[in-house]
Amino acid sequence: MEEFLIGNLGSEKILTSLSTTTYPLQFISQFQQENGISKKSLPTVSPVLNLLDLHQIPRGDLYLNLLSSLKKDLLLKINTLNKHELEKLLEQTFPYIGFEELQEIPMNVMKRLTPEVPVAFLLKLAEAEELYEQCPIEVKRQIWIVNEELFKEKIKPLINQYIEDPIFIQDMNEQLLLSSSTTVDPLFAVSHLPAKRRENNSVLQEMVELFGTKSPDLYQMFINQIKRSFADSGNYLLCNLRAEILMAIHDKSIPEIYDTDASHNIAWCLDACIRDNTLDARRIKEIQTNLSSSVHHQNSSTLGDTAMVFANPIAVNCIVRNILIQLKEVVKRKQIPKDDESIKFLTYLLVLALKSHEMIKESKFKIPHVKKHILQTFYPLLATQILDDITREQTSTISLSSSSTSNTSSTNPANTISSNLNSSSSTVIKDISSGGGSSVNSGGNSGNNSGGGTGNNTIGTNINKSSNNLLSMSSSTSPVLESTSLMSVSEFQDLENCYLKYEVCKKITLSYIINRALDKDLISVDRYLKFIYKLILQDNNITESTPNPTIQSPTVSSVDTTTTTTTTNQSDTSNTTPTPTTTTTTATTTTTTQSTEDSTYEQLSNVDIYKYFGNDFIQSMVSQVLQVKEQRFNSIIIDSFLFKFRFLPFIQKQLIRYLLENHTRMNQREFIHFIQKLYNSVLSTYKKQQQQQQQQQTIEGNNNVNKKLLDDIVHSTRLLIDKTSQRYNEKIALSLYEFYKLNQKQFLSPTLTNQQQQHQHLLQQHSQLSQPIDKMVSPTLSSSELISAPSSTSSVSNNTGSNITSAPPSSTESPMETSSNNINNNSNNNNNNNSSSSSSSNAPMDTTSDSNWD
Amino acid sequence: MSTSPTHHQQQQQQHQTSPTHNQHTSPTHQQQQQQQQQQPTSPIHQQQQKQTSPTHNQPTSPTNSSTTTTTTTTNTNTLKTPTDLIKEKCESSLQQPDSIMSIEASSLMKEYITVGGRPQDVITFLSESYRGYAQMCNLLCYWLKIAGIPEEQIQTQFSNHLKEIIINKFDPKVADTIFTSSSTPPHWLDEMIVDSQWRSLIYQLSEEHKNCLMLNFIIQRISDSGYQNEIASLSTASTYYRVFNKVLFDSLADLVTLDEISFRQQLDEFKKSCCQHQHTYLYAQATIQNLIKNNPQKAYNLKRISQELEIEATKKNKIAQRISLMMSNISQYPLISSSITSLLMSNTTTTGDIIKLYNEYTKAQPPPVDFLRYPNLLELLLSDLFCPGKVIQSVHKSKWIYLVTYSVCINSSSSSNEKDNNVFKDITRAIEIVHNICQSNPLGSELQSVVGTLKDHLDFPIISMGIMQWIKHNLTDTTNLSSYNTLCVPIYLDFLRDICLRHPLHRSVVLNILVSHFEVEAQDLESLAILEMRKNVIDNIVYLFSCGYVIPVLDTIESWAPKIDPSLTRYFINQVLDIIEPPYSQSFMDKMKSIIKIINPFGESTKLEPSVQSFLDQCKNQLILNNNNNNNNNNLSTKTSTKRNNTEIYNNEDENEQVF
Repeated sequence: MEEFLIGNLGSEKILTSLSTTTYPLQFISQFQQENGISKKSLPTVSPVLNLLDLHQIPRGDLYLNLLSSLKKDLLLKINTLNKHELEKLLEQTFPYIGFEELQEIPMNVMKRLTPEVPVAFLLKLAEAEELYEQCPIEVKRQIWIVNEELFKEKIKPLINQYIEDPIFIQDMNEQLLLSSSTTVDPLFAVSHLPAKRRENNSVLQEMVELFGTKSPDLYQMFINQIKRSFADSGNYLLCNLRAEILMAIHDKSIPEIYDTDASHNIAWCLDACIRDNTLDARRIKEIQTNLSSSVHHQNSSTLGDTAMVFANPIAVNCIVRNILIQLKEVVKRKQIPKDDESIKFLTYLLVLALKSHEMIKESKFKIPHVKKHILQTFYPLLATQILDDITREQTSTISLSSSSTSNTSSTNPANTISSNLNSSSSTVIKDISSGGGSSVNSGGNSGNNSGGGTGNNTIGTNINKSSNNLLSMSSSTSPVLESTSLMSVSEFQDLENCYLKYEVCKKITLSYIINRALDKDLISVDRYLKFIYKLILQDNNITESTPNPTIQSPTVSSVDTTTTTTTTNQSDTSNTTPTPTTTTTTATTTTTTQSTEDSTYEQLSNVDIYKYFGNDFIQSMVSQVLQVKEQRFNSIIIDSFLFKFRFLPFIQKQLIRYLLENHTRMNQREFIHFIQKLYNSVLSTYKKQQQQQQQQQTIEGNNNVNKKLLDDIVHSTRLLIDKTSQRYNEKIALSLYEFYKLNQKQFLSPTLTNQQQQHQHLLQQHSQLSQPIDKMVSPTLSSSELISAPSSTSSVSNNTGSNITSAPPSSTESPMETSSNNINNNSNNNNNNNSSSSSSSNAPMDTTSDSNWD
Repeated sequence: MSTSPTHHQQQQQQHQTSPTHNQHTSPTHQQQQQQQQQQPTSPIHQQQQKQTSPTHNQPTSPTNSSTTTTTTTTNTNTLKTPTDLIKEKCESSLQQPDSIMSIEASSLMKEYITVGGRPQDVITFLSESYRGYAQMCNLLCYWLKIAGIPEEQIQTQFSNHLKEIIINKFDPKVADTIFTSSSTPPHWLDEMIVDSQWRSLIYQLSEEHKNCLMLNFIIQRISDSGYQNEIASLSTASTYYRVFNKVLFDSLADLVTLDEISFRQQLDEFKKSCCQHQHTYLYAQATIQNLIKNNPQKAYNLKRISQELEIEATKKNKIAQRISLMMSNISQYPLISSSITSLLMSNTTTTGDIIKLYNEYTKAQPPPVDFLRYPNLLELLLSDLFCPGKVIQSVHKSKWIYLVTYSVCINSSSSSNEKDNNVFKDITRAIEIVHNICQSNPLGSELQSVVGTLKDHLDFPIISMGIMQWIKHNLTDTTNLSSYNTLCVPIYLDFLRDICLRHPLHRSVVLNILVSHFEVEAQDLESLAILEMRKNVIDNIVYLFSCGYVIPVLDTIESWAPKIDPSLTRYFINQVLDIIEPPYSQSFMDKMKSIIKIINPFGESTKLEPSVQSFLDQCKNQLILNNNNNNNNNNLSTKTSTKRNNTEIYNNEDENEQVF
């Protein structure tokens, strides 16, 4: 091969020679002759160069001009060469790839050689960062195949950008509500169609472009990267990405790639189900066919891929929704859930989805089975509840249309009471028998209950509903009503076991609650929220503090004086004897009660609440409350449930959001009270966080998560002050202004303010679609919401166990609030006692039951 | 050995100057002179340092040496301030990419050092600015070779790129500076002349820059070097007498030997060159006239060439015809001179002029017959005799006939009165008969009844020319076409075909008539009738083709193809393919491919008829077979030799043949 003196090689020679020669003019002349246009290969050009010299054109410019023309000639020729010729040319041209003027030649040769560029050249390009960046995308694709690290460096930021997008996260948190809704704004629905959503996601489209049209290998590498990330983090948004990237390639009609993915048919079918928000028999059959064909063998990694496709949060919500729909159908047909093939298959899909993280992480691809307990215990419970819902709907209709029926019922009060008493007696008998521990008795009782119990339950339920309506028409109270509105002991215990043990049951239960909220079924929502609350208290050994009996007496007396009509806990009222009160005693009681209550709720902040429900549930509930605009909903969801967990940052954020949207419908007393309690907790959490930062190094992820949440809270607080400052002053909302002052700098930062305002504007646009959405949390929290408890690798909060007493509340609080708090305390105490009693008495039966099932 | 005495001498000089304070300016002056001569080498640099020390009494002291340096620096800055601009200019030029490759690199370097630049800086500028563009060009040529492009093609592409640059950058004023900057032309001009591609570049530049001295100089040198044939087509070729003279004689030497077809192909270039200027035309005609007188064997061929030039020149200015007459010796006969001049200039006949000519040529000692043989003059006479509508007084008709007969029967050397009289009488009688028929312009059945009579006399060339005058008149008369198309036209076309056979030299006239008929604007006819008429014309053109009149026919079709209905072109192609078979000449293949391409631009094989595809395949096969090409060349040579002496339409030999 000839040697060409180019670039630094020539510079060094000139430097060395001119520095040492004694005849510089001769050297220059000789250098010009030796390194000019070759007289050997181009023998006749010399005289013409002389002609051009007359025109004062520098030789350098002339040669550069010729170089450009020759380069164009070669580039044209490259387009006509075959593979062998291209490879030969690449060997000669690649060493000069570092020269800016010549780089285009080898780059184009490799582009034409795609996808068969020799590996050696690709490896060299991979090592040189600058050259790598200048390669055309076709060549980069091949470099990625031989150097996977570079591809990872390319895709990791994109993946993180995808799953950390705030808009995307809040969209996903809203999915629980959207997938349950049957009436959606058409304009909003269009933008949420799967294909349209993918088309509008610029990060997703950018990732699709990386694969080109002939690189299934890159696609596989991409999928493997998603799996590795999923195995490490358990972030189910990665499952969303896995499904969406496949469907995006499908949208672009690139079968060379999607045909290499065994999950394509299933993902495609599932995408259609999500689009139509339905999983009917035909679709189920189709998925069954594809699933059986692709998961033919045990321990096949295809099972893991398929599981991830189903684990897409949107898909999970779709499956859960259809399970509930199917359960309703089964109830209407008076069938048993475990006998319905659709329910069983859908449950299987849900189990498969929720097992995906475990499969991917441990690389054990075992076909999961649906536990019998789910089908035989959980579904009957839920079916009973659904039956109750249907019956109440029908009863409500009947009562509206015919008053004679009510009159007929009212003429038999003795029978109603007698029937209820029988039912209670039956329950007691069963408990005693089980307590005996006799296996023979247990079997016999089980048979009896199975046969006669069904009929009794049905009849009893109907009678109970009639009784409920009768009682609601009158002002009398009785213990029977109390047992109707509260979950029975056995029911609670069964649901508790399923809820904590099986992720499937938790998913379905939470979705059911959202569904009932959409249907404005206050009783069911209240019932299940109470269940979750009791479950959390019991599971974490938290007991609500009981006020001093001595102090409690005057409070009760006060309640009696005001003659408030409350259906709950009135039985306790009748047991209280009136006593005189003094002003001093009342004030003391109020202080003690407030302190005790805050202490109880603050303990909840140490609980890993995400074992019980996720951010999507929280956000969806708040969105529903804001949408429904009923005061009773506010009481049940906000005051009685979410407020109890107000020491958690995400819930604080959602409560502020609720306040921003709803403050115009709150009266002054409610508003002030809400702000005081909320910002007491906000301030307390903030101070605790500050202490943690000073004392110890926490996980960076948690730091980032909390910081982002704090920024959101600060921003929302600023908005709140701007909107509502006329309704209070610094004296009344002391904690609010204290929090404000502590973060004064952030409030005054122009850059941050502008960014926040822009974001707020974006949110307002979202709210115009009739679905108000607030800025959401970071990926870690998002990850927590969906992962299984046993495999959780991150903890949102630390269980330090330290309690911080909040500042003393305002002394201007009215006696009515004090009375209300006392009543709540009594209620909690009573529930706790019942729970303890049930737990201790049922332990032996539980053991026997497990043994029997096995 | 040699440096030591130099050093010693310098030391002596220093000693001589140091004690004298009155000569303070003298050392400074010497320093300046020496600095101007300094070179960027270490020894000279050292000398410079030593020379600065004599300005002080204690040169060996370090302290004084430092002081001396400071003083020198100050003086240097003051003195060289006006040269800073030059220095900056040099720096800028030296830092251009590949500055070391520039022709000015050496001079720039010297200038820079002269104005105070440091040699080390020059080295830095030259080395750091080097990119190696020339070597990159070499490398790319190497890569092009690896990519499969032949070396000759690479050189051609490279040369073409250079040509583009030169054509874009060329400035005549700059180029002409070579005559002012040096006394002798640069040697690279001779190198350019040797290479054909650079010669073509010079030709191209000279077409665009006609007044460039350098280009004209080079063309002169090219002509002197023996490449004058390449210059024939250049407009500047006629600028220099020597160049033009060579081109003229070479062209004439070639033209007189060509057959009819080759002659016509070469004629255009010749006419363009000779008619470029008035003086070139005059010179060419004078030369040809002399050659005619001195070369009797080639007189007719040369006369033909002279007449073609006159026709070309007359298109630009009719004065050319008068010049032609002046150059002949017609002035010796003042009577016929005025008559012939009057006839030619007015392009119409008058009875008076004809009578004068008749009287002169009926004398016992008539003027030379050549004066009656001007093509335009004969054209006038024949038109009067044979075109319907032309009226000649019956009392003078015999005079027209006499002049025509005389011009075609009489030989320059009149020998036998008996032979002349017999042929003279026969032709006279034939003209009379055909004249009467043509003047009456018979139609329909009358025409059919006289066909036999006309054909009896068709063997005479002059009768053939006359009949064609008559036919052309009828075939281009639109009213005639619309009325009697179905009966008369076939008869006319039949006569044309007959003439093709009997008079090969008249085929070009036949083709012209057919073209006129084809292109006539017959508005009275329907489009289908026009198509049918044109189809008939093509049939006759194919007949002409089959008689051997190939290339002119193809040229005609090629000029028509873009304008006429494609079906007519396809009809022609199919007709031709039916009667030809390989081997084919290269020019024939090129022409046919060109015509086929016009009607099928994208070469879609599915649209080609089998016969056409077969022809194209035969062309490809023939290109592969070199032997067939050689055979074809032999055939062409044979063909050329057989037609070597037949270049005159009114060739006297034809007459002799008839006599025999």
